[in-house]
Amino acid sequence: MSVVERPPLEQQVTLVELVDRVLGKGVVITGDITLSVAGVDLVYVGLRVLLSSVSALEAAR
Amino acid sequence: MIHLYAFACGLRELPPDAECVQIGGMSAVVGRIADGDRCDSHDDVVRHGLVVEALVERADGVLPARFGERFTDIEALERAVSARSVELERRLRDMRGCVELAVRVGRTSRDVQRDGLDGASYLRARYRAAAEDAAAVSELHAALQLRARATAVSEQVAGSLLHDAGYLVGRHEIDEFARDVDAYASRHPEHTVVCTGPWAPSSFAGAA
Repeated sequence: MSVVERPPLEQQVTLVELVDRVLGKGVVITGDITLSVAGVDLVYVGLRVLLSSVSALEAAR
Repeated sequence: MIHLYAFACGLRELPPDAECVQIGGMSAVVGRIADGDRCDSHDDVVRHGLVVEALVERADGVLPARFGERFTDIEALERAVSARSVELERRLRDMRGCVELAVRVGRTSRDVQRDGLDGASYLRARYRAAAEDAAAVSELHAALQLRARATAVSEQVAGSLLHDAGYLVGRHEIDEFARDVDAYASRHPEHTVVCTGPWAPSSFAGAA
């Protein structure tokens, strides 16, 4: 049986924060920013990005 | 297409796959997007964040751009930035020598127990606990504010999350700031305190 280790909690927390910062903060120059990521509204995409990235990390182990 | 990551001053080294466009006194750090590439995958979001954060150690000041700022070419970027260059250069100056530290405080211990309490007593106990939490967090924020050049407190706190704020802190003040946070965490074992950073100061970059 293979055991998939989850990334350390600390790593997950910082990844969540990184994504939140990228999507919800920062200066806007044109006001015409991308409204969706992979077809999902940016309002909802943060958690999906996290889950996807954690899955990718786990798969890479 | 051009993808804007951030503006920087005192830029010493570029992160991998990033380019620099000098506009006035600012370095616009950008990436190239191949024609037809939407560049909106989950990995693109994470990559954007990693490039911006890499600039923190490579520049004296960083003004992060929100994900999704696209321009057809360098000239279009220059036109858009030039129209707001005075304001952007002022904001970038404010970020020089600073990083952002994020602090979140949550209640660790379980909510007030209902066992043995009548309704009114239970509500009073809950009110008292909430007031104590608010006072403790207010004390923490006041202490951290003294270390910070600016603060950005989120109004979106609910449930067990009591405090969520970003603090713009001079690089040389990071250790003192962390010590204040540690001291608070020691005095308040009923709270979980998470301090992350140093980050690029995204909370202070402002929106259009």
